[in-house]
Amino acid sequence: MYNETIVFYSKTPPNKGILGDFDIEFWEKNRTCGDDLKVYLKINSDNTIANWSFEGDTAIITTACASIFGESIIGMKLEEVLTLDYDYIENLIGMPVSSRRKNASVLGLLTTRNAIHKYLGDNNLDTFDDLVK
Amino acid sequence: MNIKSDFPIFKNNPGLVYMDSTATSQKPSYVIEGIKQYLENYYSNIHRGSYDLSEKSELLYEESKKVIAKSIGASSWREIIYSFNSTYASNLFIYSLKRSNILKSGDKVLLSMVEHHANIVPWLILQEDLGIEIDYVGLNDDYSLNFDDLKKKLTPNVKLVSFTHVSNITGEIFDLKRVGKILDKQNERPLFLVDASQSIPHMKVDVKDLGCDAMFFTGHKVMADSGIGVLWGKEELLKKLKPIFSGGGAISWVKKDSFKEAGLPDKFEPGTPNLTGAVSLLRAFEYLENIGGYEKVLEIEKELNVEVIKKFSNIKGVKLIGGINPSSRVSVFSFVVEGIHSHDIADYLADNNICIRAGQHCAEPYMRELGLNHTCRMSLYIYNTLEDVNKFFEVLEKAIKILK
Repeated sequence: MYNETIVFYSKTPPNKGILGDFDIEFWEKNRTCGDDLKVYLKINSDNTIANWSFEGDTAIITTACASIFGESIIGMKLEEVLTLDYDYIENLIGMPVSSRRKNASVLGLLTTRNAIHKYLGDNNLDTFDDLVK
Repeated sequence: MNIKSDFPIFKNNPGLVYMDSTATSQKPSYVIEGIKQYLENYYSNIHRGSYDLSEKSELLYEESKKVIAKSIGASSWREIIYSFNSTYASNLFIYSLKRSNILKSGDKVLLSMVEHHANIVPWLILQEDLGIEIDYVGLNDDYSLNFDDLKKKLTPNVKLVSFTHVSNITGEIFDLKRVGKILDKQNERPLFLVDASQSIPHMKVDVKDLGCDAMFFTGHKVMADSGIGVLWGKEELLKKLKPIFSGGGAISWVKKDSFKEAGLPDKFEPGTPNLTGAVSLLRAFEYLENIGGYEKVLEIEKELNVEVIKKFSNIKGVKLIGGINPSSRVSVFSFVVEGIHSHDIADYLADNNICIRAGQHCAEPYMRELGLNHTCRMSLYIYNTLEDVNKFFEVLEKAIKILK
């Protein structure tokens, strides 16, 4: 069904849980799937990601993609995270996601982008359409 | 009688186990050929075409409404309004109530807890626009409608009650005849609207028997093409209603500064209607009759229901969201698997050529009430067989072993 990496991260996502110390949290839901995810971000003074975690009621692909994505952005500039979309997730996991699960695969990314918008106070709110072209 | 062989989708997709009929039903050759024949032999616009072809097309359009009217026990085919689906039909009715000043600020509309968004969101818009109140009637532990709660919430300001006939989550059939009788006892009888989208495919629905004033359903769930929905209303009510849409075909006359609406049902159908959809609906109901009518549907589904309920009760860690009496439900089965996300179950089944649906099924308030974020939903229809059911449970058990 999925490759070994996906299965590993979905069963034992290392960054699942609530960060003891975070600056911003954000909740998103994939209404078509019923996936529900919250991210927690700790942000450095130079506007890079210091730490990231998530929790939620998520399917295999959502859990794995969120977890792998979260690990990959530690140290990344907030502005750079805001440029990432589905293609970034596909590169990370090394396989394309079926069209019916594309939104699920970017739920962690979408929630993180919106958490950053909230942190920056830029009044932007991204949607799945911004990430999955 | 091999009903499955009437449906080309199964011949063209060998091994396909289609269990998403509550979302949309598959189409028999009789309907597909009916659409083709219409397009090849009679297609032309209706309404005042002064040529034979247009007359034939119009007669078929009317014939479609006559067949629907007869099936649901309407007094006249002029009470049948064609729209595009259930949602458009419900919106057409609900906003026309607003335009006709039939509802005003402070009036209350009663819905059931299980309603589909098609029978919630238009009311929420009226709540915003008009200041109407909305209340929800709860359910008993066996998923049936809670009549004590209905009686308690039936306050004098309730002007309309709008219930689904069958839940698209639990498959439970609500006793709407009893609702109609309770409404009869009110000093001022509230209007009674019925969402029959989930009952029409499975069972005989008679508007007079239910005691309702208006009803809506969609064609694509009962083997017709998508894009054709039905709104029925009592003639005296429809005459009072001012349509929210109008234009060509829906007027008696138009001047630069005024117009007069047409009679029934034309005043609710501006523009060229879905002619092909209307013919497909006619052929779908003819097909139902040809196979033995609703009695045959009930017979097939009862056998499937008994087997499905038995098999669900034998699987550990799987919770069926719905009643276990095969006679008080249609063949729609929502379930959750402990510790596994519904989408993962649906994906695994999809990889094995079994089509079910996972998610919230356009009934978010009810899902929230149940404390669920998502369920799997397998829904059967006349083309499903016991072999399909066996394959489904075999693969479901494998999915649980692998995904847990």
